[in-house]
Amino acid sequence: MIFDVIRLHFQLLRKDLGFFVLMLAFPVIITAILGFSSGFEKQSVIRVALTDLDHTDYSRLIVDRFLQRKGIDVQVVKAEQARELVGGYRVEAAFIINEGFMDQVLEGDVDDSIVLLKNPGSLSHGIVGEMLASEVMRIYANTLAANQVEEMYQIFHWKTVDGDSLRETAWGYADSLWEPEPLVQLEYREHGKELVSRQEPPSFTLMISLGMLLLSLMLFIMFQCGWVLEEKSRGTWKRVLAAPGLLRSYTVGYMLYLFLLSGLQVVIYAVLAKQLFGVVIFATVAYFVVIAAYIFAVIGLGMLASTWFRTREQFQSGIPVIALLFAFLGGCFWSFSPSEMAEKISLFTPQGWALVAIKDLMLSGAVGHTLPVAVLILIGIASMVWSFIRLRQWV
Amino acid sequence: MIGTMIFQHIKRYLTDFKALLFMLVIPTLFIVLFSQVLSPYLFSSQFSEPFAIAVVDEDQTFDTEMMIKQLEQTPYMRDFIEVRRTDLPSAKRWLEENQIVGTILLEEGFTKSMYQGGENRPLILIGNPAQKTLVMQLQNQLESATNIASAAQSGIITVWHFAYEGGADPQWLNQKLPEIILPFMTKSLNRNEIFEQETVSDIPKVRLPEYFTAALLVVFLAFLGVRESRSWVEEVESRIWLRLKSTPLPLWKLFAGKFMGSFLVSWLQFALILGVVSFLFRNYLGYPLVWTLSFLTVVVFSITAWTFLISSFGLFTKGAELVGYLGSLLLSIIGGNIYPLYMLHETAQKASDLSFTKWAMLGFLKVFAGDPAVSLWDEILWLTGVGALMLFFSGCLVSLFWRKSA
Repeated sequence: MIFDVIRLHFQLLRKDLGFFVLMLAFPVIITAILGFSSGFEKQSVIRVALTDLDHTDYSRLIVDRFLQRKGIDVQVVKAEQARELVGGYRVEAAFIINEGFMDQVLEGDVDDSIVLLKNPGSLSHGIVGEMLASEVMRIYANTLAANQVEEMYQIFHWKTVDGDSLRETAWGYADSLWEPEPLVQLEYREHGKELVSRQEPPSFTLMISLGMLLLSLMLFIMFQCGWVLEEKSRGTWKRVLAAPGLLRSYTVGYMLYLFLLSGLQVVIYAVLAKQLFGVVIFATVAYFVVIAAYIFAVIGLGMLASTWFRTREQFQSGIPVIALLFAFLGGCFWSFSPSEMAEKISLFTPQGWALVAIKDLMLSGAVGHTLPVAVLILIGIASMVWSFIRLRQWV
Repeated sequence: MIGTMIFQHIKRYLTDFKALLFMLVIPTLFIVLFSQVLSPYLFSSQFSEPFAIAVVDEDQTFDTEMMIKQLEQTPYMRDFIEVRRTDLPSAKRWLEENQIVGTILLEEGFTKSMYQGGENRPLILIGNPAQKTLVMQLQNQLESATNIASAAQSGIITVWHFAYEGGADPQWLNQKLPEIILPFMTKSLNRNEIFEQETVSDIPKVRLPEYFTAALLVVFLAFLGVRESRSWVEEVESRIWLRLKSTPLPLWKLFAGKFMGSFLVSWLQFALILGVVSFLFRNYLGYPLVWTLSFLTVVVFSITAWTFLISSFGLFTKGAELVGYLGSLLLSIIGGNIYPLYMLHETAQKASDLSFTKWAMLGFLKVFAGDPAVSLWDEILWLTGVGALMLFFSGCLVSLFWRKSA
């Protein structure tokens, strides 16, 4: 009987071609979110924009040296672009070397000679600023030394060492002290690799994508559970209850149909993520077990929710709110735990338990997910039993 | 006829007080939740994150103390790098426990070597290999600091060298040394004065509740609009459609009547929610009223067009609700309503131009920022365009069904 119900629903699905196509589009949308959210990842280099409005030997020297620094990705752009890049959070900071920079260096006053643009989220602008400042200081110190030497020679009427310009010789001498290495050095040592814990945090993009998958699955399943109210409005439940045992077969059959449909979408999503973005979402069977337990729990909750709403209209208004609230509290919108309290609250939702199990699998790869899976199954069973009771009360 | 349809539509909505209350409570709750929980993480840097380091000062001189204090007290470092003073064994343990990114080691004799004029003792950084990106940032910071020290030292050596070559007495030179050092030291310490700092952002200056009101209200209304997905179907199922077809009423009038009804209800809904939420969160509503109302009208126009598009899908498939839910979710993501737009892939940022959620959010941010010099024209034009496009497709679908059902 249960299989007849499943077959019946699949036959109905075949008739609604539009819905079938949309159902297949659902994993595509979630995969697109995976692609769209790739910008969430922390970048390995700091992106910076640089503008040279001075166009002199000094400013060009600074630009050239700055471009060679490691750990930063410098884009040389126009001033307006620099502002756009910083304002749009696409670079961490931007530097605009003002016109008259070289004159300022020669006069020995470099204050406010470079504009540092940052956005409110910028954190490492100071580090990048320090890197640029070190290049400016090199030229500034050379020039200051050359100025002082020239001044002393004039005051004390000392004779120059050779025929070259004293300023240039002194400048060149100061700069030569940087070769082969600067006078003050940083010695880098790496701490013994074998002693350091190497636990990589889960990818932000992947966690967001999984969070969206959990949210979308809840939306999809709950929307499908509106079937309970549709059948109510048609008077089906009264007829079903008239035949002994039919209520159980009818609802279990529909729940199994929903389970298969949701599972199919998860599989399509995993395949698309691998094929389109090369991301392996579910590395082992254990991930599928967690998702299966989540789907089971959500079907239970969906059935229960459908028995609590009186009309389909109320149900329709309630679904997005329930799904969004659960997703928010469950941690689907972030990959980290904002606070201990938020972590505890997330455990009141199926999303929270599913994400605990998934993070556990990602971090350790071990089967430490028994408890979350058990809780999810328990949520499913409890809410299904409750929904049966409610259904009977209805009829 | 159109007037009757509008009246019926409004009546149907106003009878459901529970739903109205629900619509006011839920957005408020979400704005509070988002402001409290997500805001500190939304506008964080994509390129770095706060980290901790250890400093081991084995030299214990005035100069090393000054160096460490500078590390601890430089304004940009305070929220970024946590400096922990400790001894070498503790620092190593923290590295092993992955608690810190690196250890700065100032060995005994570091200061003395700087003043002796011979070879300097290096500053030592012990990096945590498990955090390579952050180690690189720390390394850059320290390398820049040592380069600044090198610049000052090379300048001082140059002056000393040329004075000596010129014939100055070494004893006199040593007496003059502090005078020579001073300008180099002063500039090294005040190197940040090279920069004239300016903070720029595409996001107008608004408070967090204002930001989330702008971001989330439109998402809610888009979601709530999904419940309209069956409105056309209901008319078909209840045979109203059939009766209407037998009258001389042209389709466009039916379409316009329904649209106007939905539009007016949505306008009232949005204005009510916006008013209540703005009152609760003290959102600034000082932008010119005419512009604010015009903007509200085009936002509602686009939301109603979205609702109509979904309900037109409903004539062809039961999956219209699914399209509505997932579509609203996708639009809110690519529109930058959940995560800031800059965090998304560039393709998504371009695609977001076609999402009404983005323009509605940007417009409301401008409204809440309250600067009348900033125009809302772009947002109004885009919202009108996107809304008209959705309405056009919706009209095509309804017209197709009208003819099919003949």
